[in-house]
Amino acid sequence: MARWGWLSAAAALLIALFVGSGCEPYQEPLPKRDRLNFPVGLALHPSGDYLYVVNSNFDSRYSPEYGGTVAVIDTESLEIRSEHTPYIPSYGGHIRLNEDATRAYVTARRGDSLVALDVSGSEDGGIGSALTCPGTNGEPSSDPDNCIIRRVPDNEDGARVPADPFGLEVTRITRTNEDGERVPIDLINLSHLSGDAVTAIAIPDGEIAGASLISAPLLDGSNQIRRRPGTLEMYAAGRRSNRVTVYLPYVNASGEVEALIVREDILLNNVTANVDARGIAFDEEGERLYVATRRPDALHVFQLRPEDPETGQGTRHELERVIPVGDQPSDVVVHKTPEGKELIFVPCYDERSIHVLDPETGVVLREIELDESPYAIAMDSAPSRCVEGTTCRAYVTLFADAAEVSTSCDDSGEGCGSVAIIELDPKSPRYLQVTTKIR
Amino acid sequence: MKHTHNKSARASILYCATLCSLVALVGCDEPQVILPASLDTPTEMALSQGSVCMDLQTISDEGLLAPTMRRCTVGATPSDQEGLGSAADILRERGSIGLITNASSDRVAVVALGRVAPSLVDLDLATPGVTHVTVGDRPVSIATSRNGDVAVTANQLGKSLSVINVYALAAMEEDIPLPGAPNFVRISRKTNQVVVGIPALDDGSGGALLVRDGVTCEPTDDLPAPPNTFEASKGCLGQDPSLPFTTLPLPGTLHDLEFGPLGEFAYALYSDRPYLSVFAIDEASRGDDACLTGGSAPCEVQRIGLTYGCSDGIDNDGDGLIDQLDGQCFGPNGAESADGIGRVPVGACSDGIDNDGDGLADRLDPDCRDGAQSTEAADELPAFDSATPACSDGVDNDGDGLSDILDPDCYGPRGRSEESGANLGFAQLSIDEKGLFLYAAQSTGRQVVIVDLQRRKLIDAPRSGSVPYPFAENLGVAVARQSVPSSITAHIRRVITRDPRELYRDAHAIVRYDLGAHVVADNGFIYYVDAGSIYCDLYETGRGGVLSTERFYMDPEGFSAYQEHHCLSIPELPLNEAAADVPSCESVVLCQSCTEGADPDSDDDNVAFERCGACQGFEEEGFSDLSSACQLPDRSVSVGVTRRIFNPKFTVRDAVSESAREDGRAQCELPEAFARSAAAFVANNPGVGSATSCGSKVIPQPVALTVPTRGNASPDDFGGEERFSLIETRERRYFFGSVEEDGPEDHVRAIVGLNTEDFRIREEDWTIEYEGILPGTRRSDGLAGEDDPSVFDIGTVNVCLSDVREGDWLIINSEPGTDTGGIPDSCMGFVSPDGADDFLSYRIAEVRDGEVVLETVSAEDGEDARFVQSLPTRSCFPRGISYEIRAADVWVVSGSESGLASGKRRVDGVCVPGNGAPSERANARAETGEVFNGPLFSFYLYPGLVAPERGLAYVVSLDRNFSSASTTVRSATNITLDTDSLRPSFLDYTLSFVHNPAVVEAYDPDAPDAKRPVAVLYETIVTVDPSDNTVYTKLVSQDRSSVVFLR
Repeated sequence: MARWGWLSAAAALLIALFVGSGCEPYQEPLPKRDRLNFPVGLALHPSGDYLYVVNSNFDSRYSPEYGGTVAVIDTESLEIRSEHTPYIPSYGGHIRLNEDATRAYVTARRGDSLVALDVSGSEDGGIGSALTCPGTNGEPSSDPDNCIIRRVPDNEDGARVPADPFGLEVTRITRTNEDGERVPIDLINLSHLSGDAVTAIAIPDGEIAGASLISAPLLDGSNQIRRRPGTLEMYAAGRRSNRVTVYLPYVNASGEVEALIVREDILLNNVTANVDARGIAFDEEGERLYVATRRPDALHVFQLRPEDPETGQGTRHELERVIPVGDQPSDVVVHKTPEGKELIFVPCYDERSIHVLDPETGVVLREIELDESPYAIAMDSAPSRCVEGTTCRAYVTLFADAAEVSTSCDDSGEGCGSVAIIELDPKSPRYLQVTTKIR
Repeated sequence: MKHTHNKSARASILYCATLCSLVALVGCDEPQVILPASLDTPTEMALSQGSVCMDLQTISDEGLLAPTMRRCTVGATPSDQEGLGSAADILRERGSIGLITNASSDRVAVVALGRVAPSLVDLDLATPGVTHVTVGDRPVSIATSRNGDVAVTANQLGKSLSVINVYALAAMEEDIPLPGAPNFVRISRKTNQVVVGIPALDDGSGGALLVRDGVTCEPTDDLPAPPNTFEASKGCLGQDPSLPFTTLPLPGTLHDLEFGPLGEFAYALYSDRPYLSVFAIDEASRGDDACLTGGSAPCEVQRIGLTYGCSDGIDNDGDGLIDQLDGQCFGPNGAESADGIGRVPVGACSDGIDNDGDGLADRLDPDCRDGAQSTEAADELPAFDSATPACSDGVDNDGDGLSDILDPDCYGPRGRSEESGANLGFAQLSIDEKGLFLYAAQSTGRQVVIVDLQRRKLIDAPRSGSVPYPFAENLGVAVARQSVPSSITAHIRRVITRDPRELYRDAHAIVRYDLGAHVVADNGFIYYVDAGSIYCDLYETGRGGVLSTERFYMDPEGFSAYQEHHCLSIPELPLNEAAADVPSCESVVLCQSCTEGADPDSDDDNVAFERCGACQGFEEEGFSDLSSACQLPDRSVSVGVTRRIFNPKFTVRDAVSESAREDGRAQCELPEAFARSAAAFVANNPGVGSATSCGSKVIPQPVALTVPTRGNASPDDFGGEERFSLIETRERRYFFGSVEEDGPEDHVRAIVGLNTEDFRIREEDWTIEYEGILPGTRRSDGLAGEDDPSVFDIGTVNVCLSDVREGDWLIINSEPGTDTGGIPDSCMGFVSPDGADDFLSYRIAEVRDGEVVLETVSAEDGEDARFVQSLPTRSCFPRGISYEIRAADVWVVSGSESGLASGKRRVDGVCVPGNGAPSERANARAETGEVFNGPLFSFYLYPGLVAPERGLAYVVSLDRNFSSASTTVRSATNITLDTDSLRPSFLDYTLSFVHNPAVVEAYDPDAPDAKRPVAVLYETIVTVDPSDNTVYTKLVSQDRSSVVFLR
C-alpha cells in the first residue's frame, strides 16, 4: 500500500512538473502502447487502412486514469502504431467513428467517461493513421485529458455522464443556425452497464464545449445501442432486461438534445427477466433486427413491418425466429457477401467460436473455431480490398488471448489479447478461417 | 440365434411381457434415473414406436439402467394380416424409444419412454459420462421410420444425413451427403421415403425438398444385444450414400415440414410465404390432384393460404388473379371474393358486380376507392379527398426501386401503400392423428391458424366457433396477449363410453373426440387450443367391434375399414350462422355429460354408462326435432350406423369456468354538479337511499340484464357482482342429442355443456361515461377557421375510429388571447362570465376529415345562454387550441385496451364500414334506460332518478385467467404443468408433442378368465428446450404426475 501511495504521489508530482512543459502528464504505471491489453471494442477507418482497438486494462495493471489505450493498427502491415496510440481511462468499452471519420468516440467505465479523440494523419501515415487529443497548447497528443467528457457542460453544475458507459452509437444530424448555416452535430448515444440510464450527447460542429446531454431511465443495464438505418430511432438492449427499448433522441433547433422519446419496448423473452443481451445489429435496409442474448444463448431475429398494412404506416416488430448459438455470445454483426447476401456473425465467448448464420433460413452455416474467446467484431469494407458495398475481412478481438511465448500478461510478455483476422473472400482457400493474429 | 415359438408359447410370452410392461408402465415406484447432464442444445425428438424394443435392467442401487436391444415380440396374428379386430390388437408389442438430436455435441440421445418416469439411457456404462449415438455435424432434425427400425438425422453443418440402425443404436459409418444445409428430415409412413428440407441449396437455386428411397433394417442374429455392439449397417438395405435424390423446388424458405398421418402428403411451411405447400409423395397419393409444375409425384400439388385472401399468395376465387392483381382487393386484409376470408366488409366495390352499369366492376371502376364503400356510382359517391395514393404518386415510397403499380406490393393505382402487407411469421405446424386439422403457430400474430385438411382450406376461426365473433382482426386462435406461440402439437383425444349391455358392449359406444392442439408459448405455459369436440354414437360393424385405443392411434392405415371413420368428419366452416345463439336450447339440459364422473377414462364402463343412461341411443325423428329446434343441422350428420355432432370451439380453453369476470365492484365517479343534484333529490324525497352510493337508485348506472344476481347483492345494488353480462357466458354451448332408453320414443334428451369462452376478454378497464370524451379527441392542435369561423381544424383526429358524429360536443379548453398576451376586448365574449369550465361548448353540425363545422348552442327559452354564443376566431385563438369532443346525451363505452368499437375506418377522408361493421354489436354508445349490446358484453342502463350529468362514469375492470390447467369440462386434455419448472423459453426450437407409448395392449384370448384390456392412453407431453439443455416430460393422463427432467 505504501509503495502504491508513493507511486501515486510521484505520479502526481510528475504531472505537476510536466504541466506547461509540453510533455505529457501521465500517471504511472502506464500501459505499453505497442501491444494489446484485454481488447474489447474495435472500429475500422472507412479507408480500411487503420484499425482502432480499445484496450481495457482489465486486470488493473496500470494507472486507473490512463490504463487503457486505443491501439492504432496499420491493416496493411498489421503493426500497432504505438506512437499514435492514445491513452484512455481504464475499462474502455466500445469505439465508433462519426460520419466523416474525423472523430472517434470511446467509452471508458473508469470515471464514467466518453472520450472524443481526433482522427488524424501523421507524417508516416495517411488520414486516420493517428488518434490524438489536443494537448494544453492545442498540439496533437496522446494524453486524453482534454477529450474526456464526464460532465456537460464541463463544470460543477454540468450534467454527469451516468455510471459505467459501455456501448455507443454515433450519428450525424444537422441543424440550421441563426445565420442560416447548416451545422453538423454528432449525436452520441450511450448505454450504461450500471443503473437504468440511457444517454444522448449532442456535440455541434465538433465543439465539446457546446455539447448538451440528457439521460433517461429507459433500460436496466443497457449494453449496446444501435440506430435503425434510415431513421434516428435508437434501439437499446441490456444485460438486466428482457426488452429492447426503442427511443428517439429529440434535438431542438439549437442543436441541443432535449429529450429521449420512448417509442416502444420490444419483448425478447417472456420467461427470462434478464436475457443478458449483448449485441444488436440491423440489416442494411433496417428491415431486420438482430439481438444476441446469453440467456438463452441465442440470436433473436425480428422483421420490421408496417403496423398498418393497409396504409404502410407505423412499425411493427415481428419476432421471426430465435436461433440457438454457442455459449455466451458477445456481439452480432452483419456481413454482406459479394453476391449481396447478408450473413450474421455471432462471436460466442465461452465456446471460442464464431457462429455464421443465414438470417433468411435460420441455418447455422459455419462455426469458425478460435483458440481463444472472441468479444467484438469489426467488418472491413475497404474499397481497396472489397467489392463495393460488401465486407471482405473481419477483425475479432480475442479478449484474453495470451501469446505462446508467454502466458503472462505482464510487461515481459506480449500482453494479453489479440485481434484475429478472418478471411471473408469466398474464393479464398482460407474462407471463414483465421488468417493471422495481431498482438 | 433365431427364436421360434409356437402360437401358444408366443401368446404366453406376450401375456407375460404385456403384464410386465403394463406393470412397469403404471408402477409408481419406478424412480427417475439421475445421470450426469449430457444434453447439449437438444433440438428435436422422434419416436421409435415399432419393432425395436429396449429392455432396461437395473444394475445399481442408484438405478443405473443397462439397455439391451431386441426385436419386439409379434404375436400369432400380426396387425398387417386381414384381421382388423380385437384379435389383431392384442398380439403386438411396440417399442417406445425417444431419440433426441443434440446440435452442439453431434449426438443423438436415447430416452426410454415406456416408463412413468422417462429416462435418458447411457449406451455404454463402461465409459465415463453418458454415451449417446454419434452422428454428423450439428444434427438439428430427426425422423424415424414407421417400423421404428431406422432413424435419420439432418446435419446442418455437416450438410449430410446420418442413418441410425435403431436395433444397434448406432449410426452407419458413412453419412449421406447433401447439396446444402438441411433443416428438416422426415420419413413417409407410406413409402418409407426420406424427405429432406433444404432452405437454400448450395448452387444458389433456392430451397428444395430432396426425396430418396428409405433405409430398412432387419433384426439380426446378434440380438438381443447391448447398444452399439454390432455393425450398424448389418441387416440394413438402402443406406448407400450414392442413391439418387429427387429434387422438388420450394417456392419459399422452408420453416417446417410434416407428413400427414398416412404419410401420403407432406406439408411445408415457409418463413416468407403466407401459404403452405402440399406435396404428394407418390402417384397413388396424388390421385386426382395435378402437380403444380406438371409431371408426376412426388410433387407439389396445392398451396393453402394461411391469411386473408388478398395477401395469401393464392388465387382464391379462380379468376386467375392473385392478391394485388385481383379486382376485389384494395388492401392486404380483404378477400378476393364475397365468400372469401378477409376482414374488410364486402361493399359495392368488392362484390364482383358492375353496380352502376358503367361496364367497370370493383377496382376497375375509377369511382371505387375502397372495397367496402356502398356505391360505385359517381353521383352517389361520398366526398373522398383528392390526395394522391402512394401507388399513383410517381414515387418509390418504400425504396425498393419500384414505384407505383410497378411495385408488386401495390393494390392497383388506388393502393395506399407500397410496403408489403404480407402476414408472415409462421413458426411450426402440426397435424392431428387423423388428418382433420393442421395447426400452424404464428409468432407474429400470437395466434394459431387452423386448416381444414379434408378441404385444404383455412378456417376463419373467430367466425367459426359456436358464436361467430365479427370483431376479431385475426383469423386464428389468439393464444395470449403477451406471449408468443412457438411450438405446437395437434392431438385427438378419444374417450369411449361403452354400452353396458353385454350384448352390445363390444360394438356400441358413445365416443367423444376432443380436437385441439397443445401450444408451447414463450411465457412458460402450455395452452390448449380447443378446436372443438365430436360426439359420435357408434355401432361398429368392423371385426372385433369398437377399435382399441392402441389400434386407433397406431394403425391409421386400417382406420378407414371401420365405421368409426364416419365419426371423424368435419362440416364446412364457418357453420350456418343461424346455428349460433339459441337460448331455447338451454331448456333441454337434461344430462350434463356422459363423461363426468370420477374416472370416465377407465374401463369401468358400467358406471360411466349408467350415469349417462338417459343419454343412450336416440330416435331419428326426435333427434331431428332437437336439431331443428337448436338449429343443429350443420353440426350433425348420420352416416350408416354412426351419428355424430360436431361442436366447434376454436378458442384457448379457459383455466377456470367463467373466469372472465368483473374484477370487484365498478368504481363510479360522480361529478360535483351531479352530486349536488342527487343530494338535493334525496333531501326532497325521503327513503330513496344514499345519493353518494354507486349502487343508489338515484344514480343512473349499468345493471345486469340476464345474469342472475348473486353474492351479497342488495336491492339497491342492481346486479351486485354481476352487473355485466359477458356475452360468451350465455352463448357458448355444445350439444349431443340422445333419447331416454325407457322413456317415450319421441322424448329426446340432450347433453348440453355450457362453457365460458372468454378468449376475447382482455384484462382492461372499461369506462362507461355519460357524454364521455371520444378516444383520441382530447388534443391541443385545434385551429380556429381563418376564413370561416364555423370550420374548426381538428388536426389528425381519425373521425371514423373515434366515431365523431353530428350533434356531438366540441369543447374548447384554451383561453382566448393574442400572441403578445392579454385578452382584447373583442375576445371577451369567449370568457365565461361565471368561470364555467364548459363555457366554450359547441355543437358539431358537420363532420369532415380533419375538420368539423361548429354551431353555437342557443339559450333555452327564458334562460340565459349557458354556452358561448360566438364561433371561435383565429384572431382570438391564434395558437393551437386545446379541445375535446364528447358524445352528446349518451353514454360512451370504451376499453382501455380495446378502445371504442366504431365499426368504421377512414379511407381517403371518408368513413367506410370497418371490421365488425355488419354486426349489431359494433356499438360504443349507450342510451340511458336501454340495453347496450357491445362487442364483448351487454348491460342494461338503469335510468336512475336523477338525470345523468356529463362526467358521470363507471369504470369496470374485466379479468381473464387462462392457463394450461383448463378445467371447464373434465377432460384429460387438461394439463396441469409445473410451470415453475417447465419454462420453455425458446421460440422455434422448443418442441412438444403428445404421444401414446401404448407399449402393449393385450390379453390372452384363449384364456377363459381373461379380462378385456384396460383401454388406457398414455399421453406424454414432451418439451425439448435447447435454451436450457433440458427435455421436460409429463404424463398427461395422470393428473398428479410430476414433470420429469431429462438433462
